[in-house]
Amino acid sequence: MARMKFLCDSDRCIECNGCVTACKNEHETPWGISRRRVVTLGDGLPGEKSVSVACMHCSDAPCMAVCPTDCFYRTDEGVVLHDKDQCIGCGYCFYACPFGAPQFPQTGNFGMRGKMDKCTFCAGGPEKDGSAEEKKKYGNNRLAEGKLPLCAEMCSTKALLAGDADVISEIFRERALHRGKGGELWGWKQAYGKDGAPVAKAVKEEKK
Amino acid sequence: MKSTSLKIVAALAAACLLSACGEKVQTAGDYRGKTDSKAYDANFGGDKAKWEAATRARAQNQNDHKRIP
Amino acid sequence: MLMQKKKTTTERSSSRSRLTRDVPLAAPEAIDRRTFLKRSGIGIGVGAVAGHLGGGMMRPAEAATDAGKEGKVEIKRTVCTHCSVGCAIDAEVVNGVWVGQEPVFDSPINLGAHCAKGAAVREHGHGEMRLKYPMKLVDGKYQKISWEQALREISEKLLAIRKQHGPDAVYWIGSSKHNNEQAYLLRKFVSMWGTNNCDHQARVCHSTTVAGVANTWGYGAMTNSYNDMQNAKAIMFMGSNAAEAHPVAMLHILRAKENGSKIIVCDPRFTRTAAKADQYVRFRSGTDIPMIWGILHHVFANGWEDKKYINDRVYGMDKVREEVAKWTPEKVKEATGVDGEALLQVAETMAKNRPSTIVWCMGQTQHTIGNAMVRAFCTLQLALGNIGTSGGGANIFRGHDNVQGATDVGPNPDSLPGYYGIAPGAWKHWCRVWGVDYEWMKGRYVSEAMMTKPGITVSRWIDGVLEKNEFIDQGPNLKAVVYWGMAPNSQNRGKEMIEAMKALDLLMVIDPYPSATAAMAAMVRKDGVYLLPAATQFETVGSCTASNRSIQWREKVIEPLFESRPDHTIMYLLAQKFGFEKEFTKNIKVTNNEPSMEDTLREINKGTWTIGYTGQSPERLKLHMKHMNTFDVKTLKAVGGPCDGEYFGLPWPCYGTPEMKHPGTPNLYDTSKHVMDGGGNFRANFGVERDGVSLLAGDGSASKDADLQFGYPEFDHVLLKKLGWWNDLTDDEKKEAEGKNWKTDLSGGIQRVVMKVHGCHPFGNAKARAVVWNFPDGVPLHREPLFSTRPDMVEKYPTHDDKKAFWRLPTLFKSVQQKNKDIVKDFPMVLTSGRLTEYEGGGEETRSNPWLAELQQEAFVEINPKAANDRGIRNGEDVWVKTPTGAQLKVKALVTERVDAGTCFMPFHFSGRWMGEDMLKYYPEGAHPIVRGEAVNTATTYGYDAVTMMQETKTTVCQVVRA
Ligand code: SF4
Ligand code: SF4
Ligand code: SF4
Repeated sequence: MARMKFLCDSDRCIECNGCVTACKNEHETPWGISRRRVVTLGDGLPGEKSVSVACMHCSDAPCMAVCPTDCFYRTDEGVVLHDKDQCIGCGYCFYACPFGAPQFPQTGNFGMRGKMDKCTFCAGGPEKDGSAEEKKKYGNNRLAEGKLPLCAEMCSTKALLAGDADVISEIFRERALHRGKGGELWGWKQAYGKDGAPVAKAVKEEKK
Repeated sequence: MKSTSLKIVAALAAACLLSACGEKVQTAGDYRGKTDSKAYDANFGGDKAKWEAATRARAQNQNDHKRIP
Repeated sequence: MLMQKKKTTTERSSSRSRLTRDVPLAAPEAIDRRTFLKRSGIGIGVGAVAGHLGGGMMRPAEAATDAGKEGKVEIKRTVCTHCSVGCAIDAEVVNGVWVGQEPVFDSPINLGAHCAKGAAVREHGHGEMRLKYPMKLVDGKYQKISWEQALREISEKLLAIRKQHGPDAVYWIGSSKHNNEQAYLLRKFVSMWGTNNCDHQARVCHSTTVAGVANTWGYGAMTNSYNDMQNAKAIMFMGSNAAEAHPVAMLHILRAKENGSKIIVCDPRFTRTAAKADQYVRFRSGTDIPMIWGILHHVFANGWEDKKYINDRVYGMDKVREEVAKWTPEKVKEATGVDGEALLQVAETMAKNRPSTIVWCMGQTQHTIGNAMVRAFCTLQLALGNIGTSGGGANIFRGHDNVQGATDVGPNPDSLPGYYGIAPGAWKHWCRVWGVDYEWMKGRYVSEAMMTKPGITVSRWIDGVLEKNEFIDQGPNLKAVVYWGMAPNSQNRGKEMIEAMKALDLLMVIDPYPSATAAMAAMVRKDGVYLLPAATQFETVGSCTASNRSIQWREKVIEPLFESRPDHTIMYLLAQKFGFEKEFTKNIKVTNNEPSMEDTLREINKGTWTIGYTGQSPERLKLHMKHMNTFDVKTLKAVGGPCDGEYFGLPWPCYGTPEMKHPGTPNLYDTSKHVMDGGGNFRANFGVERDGVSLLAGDGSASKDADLQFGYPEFDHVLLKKLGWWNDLTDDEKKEAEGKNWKTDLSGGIQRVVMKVHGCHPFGNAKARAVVWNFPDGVPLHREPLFSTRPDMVEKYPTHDDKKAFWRLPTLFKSVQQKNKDIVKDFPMVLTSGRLTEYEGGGEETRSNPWLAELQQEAFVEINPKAANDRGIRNGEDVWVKTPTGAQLKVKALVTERVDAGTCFMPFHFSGRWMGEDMLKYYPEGAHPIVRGEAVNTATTYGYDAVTMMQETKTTVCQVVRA
């Protein structure tokens, strides 16, 4: 059973925003709606790391739990989607989401997609797959075409991986093997207490 | 009518599958929106295995070690 | 509250604390650029823009948006137009509308990957902010006019200027965003107009590299490829920020790192590339030569140099040793601020992890001594024996998508296509190729003297207008300027440029976007400005040369949008008005005023023997585009399939006729391969002997299996006969080759016999030159920039003497430096500039793309916390950046330790604000970039390279004050 997940290799991510604009391109999200964004930690300092974040399609999704209109559902592949016709745009899910994934049109009257918008794992919504209606409300449905999220497919360094968790973790495992050292996934150290992320050595100019 | 029964079937299916993984069912009951079709319905004639094979193969495009040993 | 928070993941909002909790890397003081922008309240302007974009934004693609991808989807394969990496793109087109963009996983260059710019190119299919029809400035406002009227009025004015002042009174600025065919046609067009006053982006991008590198070992280009960097065991970046400027290159670089390659970044600024490095060395801007000599000092001191290689393949290393000996660690530290230990580590890493490669970009090139800096790099690589080997090389990352190609065959003021130069011999060669009479050609110019005198450079056109007539080295001052696909804000001294624009009789912009030129001109003029809408590269076909010299063919994705026309069509229409359209397209089929790009490439093939642009026929290139999957990613070589044995994109030199089937050259000067397999050696271009020392390669040093296993000069009919190889030519070849050399024999017979029959290199086999005696500093010497914050260093390392007639203009060095010796008192900070991922070059095109513009909404200056605190500046506040030109720029302060306390950094992609004023009202209505900001070059100071007239923009001075 496919279980769709993202994985961002922070040793590869260079904060180029390819993933962000790939998403904009594929789904033509309006100005101000970012289904994906890149977060940089320690910006400008030795050890700077970036990681690309969107909806994580949680197994136990807080947005789903709190939505007052129960507009969320999860597909067989573990993709968390919602029905915009059901959504009332209250923003509760935004508070619940640990990643700030839900997006809302910026201007007063809802933009063309209206209501809450978030990463669909490029799987559209409950409208007929590949229909104009679906595209208008949720963007393209790549999964139904047998394709994977464009953000990951276009990532400039293949830092961002998307697909069946088994497959992408295998891809990452192979990569880590080549590196000859432990996986340095973002958060890995916290989880496993391993050391080893190379920290650029800054040689500072001395004061004259 | 039809959609309700479909929903139940889907919910049951999901319940079975998920419970096998020891996970809490999320989709059942609560969801009040329209029913979505399966990812493999529109272009894969409902052939789930074929769709899974296609996406798995596609995922290998993200594997630079496959193209470059 | 809710609305404001949704993009602010790193802000100290609830979402941030949740996202980053337990992450020790998140130093509390470190905020990223986007958070910074958010905090500085930039979100406020967004509503207005969004509103503006609203409904109309989707216009051309609207149909598609509504229809989904229903309908017949056609796939058109093209190449990203935003940088020299050359990432392939599959465009999905339905009923002529560009509806989707798919990754090309098959491409050996990018494997489907894109940075922000490449992932957003489909917006070109919308092009809402494009220049939509010809326009004319009337009473200070741009008005729509017809093509017919525009062409008539423009040509009448230009012809009047030509008649009154001569052809040299018009300046033609071409483009590195033209494809090869268009760039080539433009050089031909300008020649037939009768002047050498033409140039393009390469002047202000890598002209010092091209001149420096070509004079060192033969060809002015990146020696290896992005792909080949996977074979490097150590990679040193200096003056290159690949992570932001060439993001997809990082795919190969990070893989190299994962395979154990060591990454070193030396830069005044802690870049995103530095964040991925094993070692980062911060040094004072402009002291690259002391840095390199400091590294080489350790190399020599430890005997790490490749002695056999130097003996066989390098001329003049002993002279370099003498200079390097002076650069003791103490002296290096005094100049650069870096202690010896750090450079010893760099030297050791580079020496003990061979093959090691070096990457440089505009951080090196844009200096008054840029030509010397790049040669210092070359020398380091020669000393380590790293040139001509896979994994080594000088990996010079070019900028624009076709800046390499436009340099190779495009509008250069000192050369006809293919670096033939402009001596009478070169003219005769090209006249033969073009099928025109040399005397006719000469008649187009004022005189043979002007025909063979290098034109003014784009970096100095403003002085061609403003300089006193008696001081310029041509008849008239410039009266008209044509900006044909270039941004004005990429040239320094913007404040004076405005004066030059004011003084012109005629200014013409030919561009898909009105560009900052239109707005700047409307700011100071009431009339005399014309804008012609050009099509983008997605609306035409043609080839482009990536940084690694691979040539890719673009299919046409969509028809030209609005009323735009392809650049070559515009050239043809103007040629018609000027009365030379027949000569212009003698060998080229013209349909509906559009010259065939295939025929044009065939003409390039027919004439460009010097650098091997002869083997890449349109048919061969198209075959490569179709079978990308057959090419190996590390070697770029096709394994089986229809392109078996060839290298991807037939990287030039691809010698001989297409029928000779040369495979292209993946890594230049590589003696480990046969010449017919892309092997080679250094070029014999500077004679055979100097001061009694042979310049030819040592015995036993030659390309694999060459008949001549020693140094030899370049081939011509005489040498061929002497060697007894003449009879290897066919009778037809003999007829053509008689009296010719390998560069002028249009039959390709000499190249065929030398390479295919005898395995030798047509350009000879010589040593690389560590001493380029024909340049001002044969051995590169450090010289302080004209505007320096270190008077003590100016004293010790003064610049060159002033020059009188240099590229037709007087050029100042010492007098400017002396006058500003104590400038540090008023302007204590170094001002430098660089790139952002989201934007390209002058930035108008990319800032007009909402998908990109949203990500970088405001111009800023990076300033160190100490410098900021000393000035009472807080992060996100408005500041004035002031420079000695009297210009001042109002930008946001981004307080960060990326820069040290003595350095300020500004991205150079902004324009559309002028010293505090929004220029929106000066753009044609509805055709302005969404994001506008201060151009750093409005404020940059005087200063030019002593060989190529490259501008100094990387080291100047400024002061920053609160606004
Ligand atoms: S998976 Fe699709 S919708 Fe989600 S961020 Fe990526 S491109 Fe956007
Ligand atoms: S495209 Fe890849 S490398 Fe670039 S920001 Fe996104 S995840 Fe990072
Ligand atoms: S700008 Fe350069 S790196 Fe980015 S997608 Fe285009 S060609 Fe590739």
